[in-house]
Amino acid sequence: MAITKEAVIEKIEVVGSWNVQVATDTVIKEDGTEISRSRHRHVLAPCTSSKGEDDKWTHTDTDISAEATEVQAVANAVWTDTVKANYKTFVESQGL
Amino acid sequence: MALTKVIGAGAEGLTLSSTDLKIDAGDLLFGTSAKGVVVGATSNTDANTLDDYEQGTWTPDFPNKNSSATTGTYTKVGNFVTCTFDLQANGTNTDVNITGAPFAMLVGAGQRGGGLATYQNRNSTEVWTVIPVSSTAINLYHGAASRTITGSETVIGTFSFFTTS
Repeated sequence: MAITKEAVIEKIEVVGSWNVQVATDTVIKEDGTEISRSRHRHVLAPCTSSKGEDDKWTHTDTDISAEATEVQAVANAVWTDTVKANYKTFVESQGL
Repeated sequence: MALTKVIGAGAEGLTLSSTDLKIDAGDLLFGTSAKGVVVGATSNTDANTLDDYEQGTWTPDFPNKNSSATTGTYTKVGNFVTCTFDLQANGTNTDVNITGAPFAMLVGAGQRGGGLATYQNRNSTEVWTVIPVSSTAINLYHGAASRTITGSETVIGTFSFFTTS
């Protein structure tokens, strides 16, 4: 009896203009037959943004080096300089 | 009451009557994605169609990964998502953003969700809220002032938001 565990990227969705939404399933198989599946999700935006006590914004590009190759490809394709600039403008306009 | 029974493989499966639909054992599946159940209306209107449900996990973390224990769960019903999370800092942390949200959060005017830190051991006299600050990050607040955890401090919370996906 062989139990295996694998992570499978089920969905990579571009939501809105800049959000890359990723659904990863963990699949447990017994002798090749799936016996369990659970889902993990995360969303990537072009930058991480925060406003300091001086009300100035800091935008740091999101590090996607640990993401799967296909996720990196989608993110790099979507996050053009224009999209990044638009994202920063949006965050600053909506930020608290 | 007239009944119509659909029987497969020798076992009673589906029963239709004038008032009810009964599936003897098992789930109701749609052959096409993004189809759903119209609830509370007699015509097929998008506003009354429940066409998405999902539950899973997410990983709350700081952008600089200054955490030692993180776990989160979510349930999505339609376009509304409810999340819970446990997050423990690891050493010096100054990040106010907590990233890793399971779905893109709406933060436009009148759309922003929120929640509550149900536990935090940073300051026993404060009640902290959880506010989405971008499509992917939440912040902790006491009033209008953002809060962080550091050292080995812990925050536990729950929040909800709308998403477009």
